Amino acid sequence: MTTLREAPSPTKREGHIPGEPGLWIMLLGDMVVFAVFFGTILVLRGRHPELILSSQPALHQGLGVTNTLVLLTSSLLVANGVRLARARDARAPRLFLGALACAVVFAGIKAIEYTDLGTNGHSPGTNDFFTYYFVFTGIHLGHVVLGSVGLIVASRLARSTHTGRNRDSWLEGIACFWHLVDLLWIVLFALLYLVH
Amino acid sequence: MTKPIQLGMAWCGVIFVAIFFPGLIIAGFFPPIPPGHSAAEVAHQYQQHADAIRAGCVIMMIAVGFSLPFSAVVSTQLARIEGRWTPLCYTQLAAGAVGMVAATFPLFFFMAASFRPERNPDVTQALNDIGWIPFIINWPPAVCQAGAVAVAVLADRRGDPVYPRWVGYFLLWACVAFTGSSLLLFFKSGPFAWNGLFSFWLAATFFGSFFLVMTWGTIRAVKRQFAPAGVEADTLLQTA
Amino acid sequence: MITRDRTLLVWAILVLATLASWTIGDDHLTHRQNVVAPTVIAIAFIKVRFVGLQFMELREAPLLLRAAFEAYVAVAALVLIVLYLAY
Repeated sequence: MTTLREAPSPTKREGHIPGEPGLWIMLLGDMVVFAVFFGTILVLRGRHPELILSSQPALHQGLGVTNTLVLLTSSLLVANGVRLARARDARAPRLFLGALACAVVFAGIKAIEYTDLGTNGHSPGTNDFFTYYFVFTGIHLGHVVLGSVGLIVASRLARSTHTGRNRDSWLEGIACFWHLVDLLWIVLFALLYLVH
Repeated sequence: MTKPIQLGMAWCGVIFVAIFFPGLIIAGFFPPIPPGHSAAEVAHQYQQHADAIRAGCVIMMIAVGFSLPFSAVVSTQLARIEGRWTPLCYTQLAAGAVGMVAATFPLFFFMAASFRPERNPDVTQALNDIGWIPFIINWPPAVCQAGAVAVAVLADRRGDPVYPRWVGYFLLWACVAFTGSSLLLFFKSGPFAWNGLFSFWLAATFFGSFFLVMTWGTIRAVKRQFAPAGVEADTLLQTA
Repeated sequence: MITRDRTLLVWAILVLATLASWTIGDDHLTHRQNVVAPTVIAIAFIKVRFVGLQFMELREAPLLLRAAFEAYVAVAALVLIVLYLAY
């Protein structure tokens, strides 16, 4: 790989807000809401540990791990995509599309998991554990869909010929939303699939 | 002449919240009557607290009236952002009007239930259900309203935006939170039921905050509209 | 270390942490859930911190934003671990 000239990084000393300040209200807010979800899961476990012990084994840990790795990889692609786009590197759009492909894989695996659970007689109404599983991963999946739309937009913004104002800011914002999607899944996976 | 009128209408947002929530509390609906209650329990509540429910509902009905002028003044400010063509302004206005109806007609069912509380408990429970379900689940008008404002705020190209940008992001977040009540039909208890953490408390918090944040933002916007810089910016936009 | 390499390194660490988490979560280290679960939760939030600081570039963010994020990670991890152990 040929050495890449990094674009000068923005005002390091004063601090650079990725995207724009208002966006972080939403990102941090979403993290707080999900934190309430996380707490709810553990409260359920505390009150009905036998429920978790009997229901959790129905989940595919292997698929959960795979999905975690898929999202981590997509975040890597997005982070590099932003970096390359700043440097007006023509490869940038491809990285965002790569991340989009990861998103599709994630959704596909989720579909397999949901179907598998369904055919084994586990639905959102079966018991509280499965309610939380389906609803929280479902809400997360909604975030994946939103984020995917963002990735499509990003792949267009990332073209080296793009001259719009605030284009770097938009890219950072979309990227940060995607990293949020990744970060929320990391905790969701741990609490739903591993902790009992 | 329009500045004091706009300011008055903007204050309606706070007035709405300030009257509505006490009304809800007086009726004994904060927190809501649990969906898991039997018909007998629901009927008992309406019989024991008939007058409180009647009074609370009338108070809430009056409160909701204030949301109408409030939506109108928000649309006025959105029109300043949009310039000549104002689709978002119309969306917000329509959504605000529909929202007012959405908040009022469930009250009519509570009122009817409280009018003859000695009737068959199954009927009372049915009226109670048909009040609570739309009251909590009907998020599309709220999302259209908050969403329209959010899009306008984030698309604002002025140097000195009409609403601060964080308001746009806050409203997007509120939109997502509003949709949480979609699942209430599937649960009679727990966090997704109509009195639960996600369907009720989260949505209620955002609902109240929406009006408070927008009142603050609108009052600020109206004041700046009539400051010299505001008048100049508006004129430039009209001729753009 | 230039950004490109550091980003890749963090990704590798995250992948390893995921696998470690899975192994520990599957009781391969110890069967005692009082040790396993808090460890899994802690690893998850360490991963979250890496995603924020490296991928979201919060290391270069103003102090207030970075502090808010770090506070979230610390408080959330702590509260969840306490919620787990409290029962």
